[in-house]
Amino acid sequence: MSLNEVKLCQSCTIHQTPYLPLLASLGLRPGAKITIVCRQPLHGPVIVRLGQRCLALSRELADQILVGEAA
Amino acid sequence: MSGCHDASGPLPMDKPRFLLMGNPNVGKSVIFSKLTGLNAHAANYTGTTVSYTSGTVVAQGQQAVLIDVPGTYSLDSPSSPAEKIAAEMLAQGANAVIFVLDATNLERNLNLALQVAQRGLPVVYALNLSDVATQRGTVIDDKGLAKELSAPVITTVATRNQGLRALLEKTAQAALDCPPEPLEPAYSQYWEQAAAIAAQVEKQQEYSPGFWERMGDLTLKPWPGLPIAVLALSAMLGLVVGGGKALRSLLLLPLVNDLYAPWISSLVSSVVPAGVLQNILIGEYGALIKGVEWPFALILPYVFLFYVALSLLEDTGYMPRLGVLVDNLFRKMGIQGGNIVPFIMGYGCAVPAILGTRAATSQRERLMVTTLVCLAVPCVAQTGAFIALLGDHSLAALLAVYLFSLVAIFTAGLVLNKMVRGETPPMLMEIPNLLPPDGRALAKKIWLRTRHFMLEAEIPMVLGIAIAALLAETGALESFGRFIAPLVTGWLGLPPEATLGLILGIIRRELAVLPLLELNLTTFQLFVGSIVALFYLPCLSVLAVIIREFNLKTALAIALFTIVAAFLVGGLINQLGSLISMLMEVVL
Repeated sequence: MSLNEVKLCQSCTIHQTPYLPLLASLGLRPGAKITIVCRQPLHGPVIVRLGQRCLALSRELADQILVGEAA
Repeated sequence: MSGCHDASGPLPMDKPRFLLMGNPNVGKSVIFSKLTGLNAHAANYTGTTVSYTSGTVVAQGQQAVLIDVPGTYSLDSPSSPAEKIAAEMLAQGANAVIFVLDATNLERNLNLALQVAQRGLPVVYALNLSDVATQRGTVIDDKGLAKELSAPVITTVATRNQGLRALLEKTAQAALDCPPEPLEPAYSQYWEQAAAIAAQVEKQQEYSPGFWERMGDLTLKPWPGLPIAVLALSAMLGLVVGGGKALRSLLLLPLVNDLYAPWISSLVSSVVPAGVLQNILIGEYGALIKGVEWPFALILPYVFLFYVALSLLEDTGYMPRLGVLVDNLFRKMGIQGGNIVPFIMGYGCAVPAILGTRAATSQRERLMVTTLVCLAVPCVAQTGAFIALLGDHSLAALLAVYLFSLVAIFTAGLVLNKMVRGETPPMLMEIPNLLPPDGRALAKKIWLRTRHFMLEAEIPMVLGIAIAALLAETGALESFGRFIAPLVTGWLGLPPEATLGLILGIIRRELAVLPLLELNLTTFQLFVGSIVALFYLPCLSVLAVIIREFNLKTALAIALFTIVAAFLVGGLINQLGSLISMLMEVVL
């Protein structure tokens, strides 16, 4: 499923990301465990927590990130 | 010293060269500012040090140049102009590298550290933000880390000057020693190695989140993040407008009008005989009177308080949170929410705002934000002028000007989104920790910014006022006024003398407004004049920055666009207003 389908406050593990070097540099790479913090209204960005940090990414990008249940 | 240093590379190296490197938002700029004492701005929103800063440090009795390299996430796949600069600087070589690690985010930081360690340069690591890490239950074995990295690791708390001296001494020592072997990659990917090292040296303990961490989360969520944002921005506005007004009327205006003006008037009139020269110095637009009253009494309080507010928003790490909250709105204009940063800076001065657009992810966004800031974001000097002009007449008119500005930004944004070609990449950014700001760094920053603004502003302002006095005294103003009278009196409904503002407004934005002070206009005329001034040309220094950052063509296009917008909108308001009042008379 895509990152956009994960419920709020739930954790998941990234399976596949689009080719975008910055994603990997920021730590969003296959195997990383993330938690959905919130989604901004009106199709705004989704905020995820990775380790102790939060990252904001647009819904288009989140759509292309495939995730599975947290290991 | 051994002969292991070939001072090769394109740059002449008469002094040792130290590079200060690391991810964005790890406190790199604070370390730089504390080590060099120079005026590098330190703020923790993404990409603050796009243009690099360098300064001199003394270590082991020797001078060295310390270069603050733009924060970067990766050297292999640079994703912004800033990252390209960072990679280039490293490729040019250095005597040593100070690599700043964020102790609250070790694994991600190690990813870049390992890329740097591959280059075979002497590296010393600063394990910064270690106090925040400790609060959050993260324990890092610094000796183990040093062993894994085969390089010295110094634990630092940059905001409190902890560990910085040792860091500098170790770096100077490392530069004297022979360079190390490049760190052997133990895994096929840097991040795999980073994860392995982090797992080795880092332990996470149970802890309960403190105030700033909880606030950091709350300010990100739409609820209560949005109300908090409204509250925070209103508080800032109140501080700048209310505080500025108080400073102005209680302290600065009495000082200038009751003490300085009578003193300088009697001084000048005793030396200079009555006539044109005396009028230029102390007459209606007397350079020695208005040249002090306008910048110091009307503008300075707002400039100072604006920079207090801006620096607070920046140094706490709140700006990127604001960017996330407004992204959906900004995206309607085709720009990312992160561009709220140059917009807010633009309410101070358009020059740093335009420089700040370098952090934007695309050239398209840079151009759009620059145009919008030039068109409809009043700088703080102009705000001071608006308050001086409208504040006592009609608060409603003052609010209407700012409402107009917001509507204009959004409308023009929608139009530009259709006009400017190119794509805006999707949002992807890191949110830095929300942290209490460091008092001393904050005070220094506010002082430097205020001083810079006043130095930049004072000379053109006095010059502008002198020109005004000259134009008024020689009658040139009247002849020019007659020339464009149809436009000013007919279309805009302003007296011919208002032409002065249009001439001086080329030099500085607030000078388009301030001459209206002396004309006894009706509230409606003041409103029309303010709207014209709002949209009218950005000042000369802004045009110069646009030429430098883009090109002459862009600067001319923006100048033309703003002039047309100013006359078009101002005139339409006047005509509409006259029509309504005529209809009212007929009806009544």
